[in-house]
Amino acid sequence: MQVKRVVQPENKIPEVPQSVFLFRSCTGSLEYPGTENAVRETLRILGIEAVMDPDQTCCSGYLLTCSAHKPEVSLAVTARNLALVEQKNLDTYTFCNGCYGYLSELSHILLHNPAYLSMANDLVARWGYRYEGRTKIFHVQEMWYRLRERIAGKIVRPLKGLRVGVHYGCHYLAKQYGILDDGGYPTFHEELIELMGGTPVFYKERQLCCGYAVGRGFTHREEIVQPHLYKKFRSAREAGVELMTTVCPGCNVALDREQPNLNRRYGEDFRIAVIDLAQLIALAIGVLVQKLGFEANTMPLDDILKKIAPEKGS
Amino acid sequence: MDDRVKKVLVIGGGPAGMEAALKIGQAGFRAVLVEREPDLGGTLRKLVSSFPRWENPADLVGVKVQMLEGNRNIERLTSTAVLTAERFERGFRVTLKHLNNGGSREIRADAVILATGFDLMDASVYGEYGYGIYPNVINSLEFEDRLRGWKEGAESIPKGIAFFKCVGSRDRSKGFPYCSKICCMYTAKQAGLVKDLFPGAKVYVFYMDYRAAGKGYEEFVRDVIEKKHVRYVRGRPAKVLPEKGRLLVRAEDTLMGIPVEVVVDTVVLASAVVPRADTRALAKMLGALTDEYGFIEPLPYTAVRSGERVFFAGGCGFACETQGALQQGAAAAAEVIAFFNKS
Repeated sequence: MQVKRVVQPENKIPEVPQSVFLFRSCTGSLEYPGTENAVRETLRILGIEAVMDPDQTCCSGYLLTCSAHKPEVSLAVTARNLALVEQKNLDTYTFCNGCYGYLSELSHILLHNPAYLSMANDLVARWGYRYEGRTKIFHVQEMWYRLRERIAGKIVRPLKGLRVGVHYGCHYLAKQYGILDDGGYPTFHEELIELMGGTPVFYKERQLCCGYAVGRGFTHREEIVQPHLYKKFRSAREAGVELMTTVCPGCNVALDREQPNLNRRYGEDFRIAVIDLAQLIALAIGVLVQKLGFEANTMPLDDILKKIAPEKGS
Repeated sequence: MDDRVKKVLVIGGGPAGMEAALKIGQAGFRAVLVEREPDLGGTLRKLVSSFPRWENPADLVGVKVQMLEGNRNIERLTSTAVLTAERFERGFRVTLKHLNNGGSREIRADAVILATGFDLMDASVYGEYGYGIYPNVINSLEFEDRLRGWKEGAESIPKGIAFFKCVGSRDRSKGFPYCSKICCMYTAKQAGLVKDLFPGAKVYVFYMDYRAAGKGYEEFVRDVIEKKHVRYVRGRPAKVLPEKGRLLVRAEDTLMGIPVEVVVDTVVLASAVVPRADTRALAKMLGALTDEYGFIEPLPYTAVRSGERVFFAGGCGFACETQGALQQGAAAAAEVIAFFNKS
């Protein structure tokens, strides 16, 4: 095999950059504005500048998946967005598994098919862009794991044994090659939870998909997503999960917003808060709670905040 | 013994190596049979029953060992490994190391037969199956030990066992695009044995398709399915999860087009057959060819020859069943004998 399946974070990110381009996520920034904030604050505290650009658009992946437009359109969108990053000579860091997956995949297609690349570049050249393939695509979770020791040194609000069930999300793990862990049985988020003083819970259905693909948007099918998530949440509750973390706003939406529907359909009382891993790290390293936007969550975090951040400030 | 009689070094004392040494000795040439383990028999020695005739492998090993012992031309060196080997004059100069007392000795050989056997791929590359995470997810060779324990009266009675075929094999993403050839048959054998021992146990075999190409093979698998009532499910399992001390297997029955879940006590992974890790280095020292995976490669238009005075037999060339190992052992011996008589 030419491509390694599991890459050590020190090999994936040999030198920690001073600045990175932070690729905004539509779902993240619309549904949970606190996530973007948490990522930026965490990067700042870890000593990395997050550069952003208002000209960056949606990665267009969701629309591509739903066949809402032709794939060629997404190729051009990708070329434009990444050209924007290349103008700044930075690497691209996403905080959404979807953006990560689509940018990786679409840039791979562009860079391995000269005809597609010139087609996309011809189009975006009208606005002065040109994609060359210099910027590398990362997910911020890779940076968290790369800087796990730095994070450990900055903990001011230890998680006090909080029982956290992590959710990795299919679109990161399904890449299979060049990711930080075994896609079939990943554990690096659990390591981060442990390092922050939490108790990682390996609940039975921890790798079950979030159901976003059939739970949200115009592909919504509740008769499929609800039994599916019911299985996941029953298993999480059985194992005593107090908080779930995600690294993908899509997963976060699916897991957080669907719980009231499950409660209605099955006469249950699920109240498991779901937040982004970056929000939890930010919390642990002392970012002001007000900056993390937990008001946007459907499932309240009151009990968790009472436990970890009783002072509600830094 | 007459020093002018030509001598062959046979590396590996499994069925292929034993058969090769035996035929060479019977033909009047000298053979030195080197085996790393304290006993001869190789992988065959670890197996319980066989296909397609449910014979006891221990009987076969016993007969072969007895014949080897009775032949003055054959020297058997167990607990011994090849340390170094090089071409010397019109043959080889090889240093052997005794693994127990650490002593080494040098021998000369006019030809070498490689019969170093095979291994199973490390199944932990499939994190989703939990090999190395859950103690009751084991590979097929480890399962042979369980079978032996049960045959000898071990008390734990399994209620359910699931076999996964093609774990690694035919999976390009794991770097093993080839079919490991023997798994379909030994899995059927193992599943059938479980049903013989514990008729009440639920036994599932998850398969992509089954390849039973050999005399009596198709009938064997059919019997296991139809007469022993092993449940064959066509579909690659997605996941193994812990479930109240047992194991939950989540898969798709692709013939029915439905997701299935079964709860079992043990999951047996038929891992891809791979060459032994040190075979490639050994081949290099001896001037034999290896392929991209590390299996010994034959010279063009030959079956068991891999270089000047270097021959091979059995699992080190590619996955093969006991019958195949014996056939190749005999063929390698025939090549050597013909070569000696010609030169």
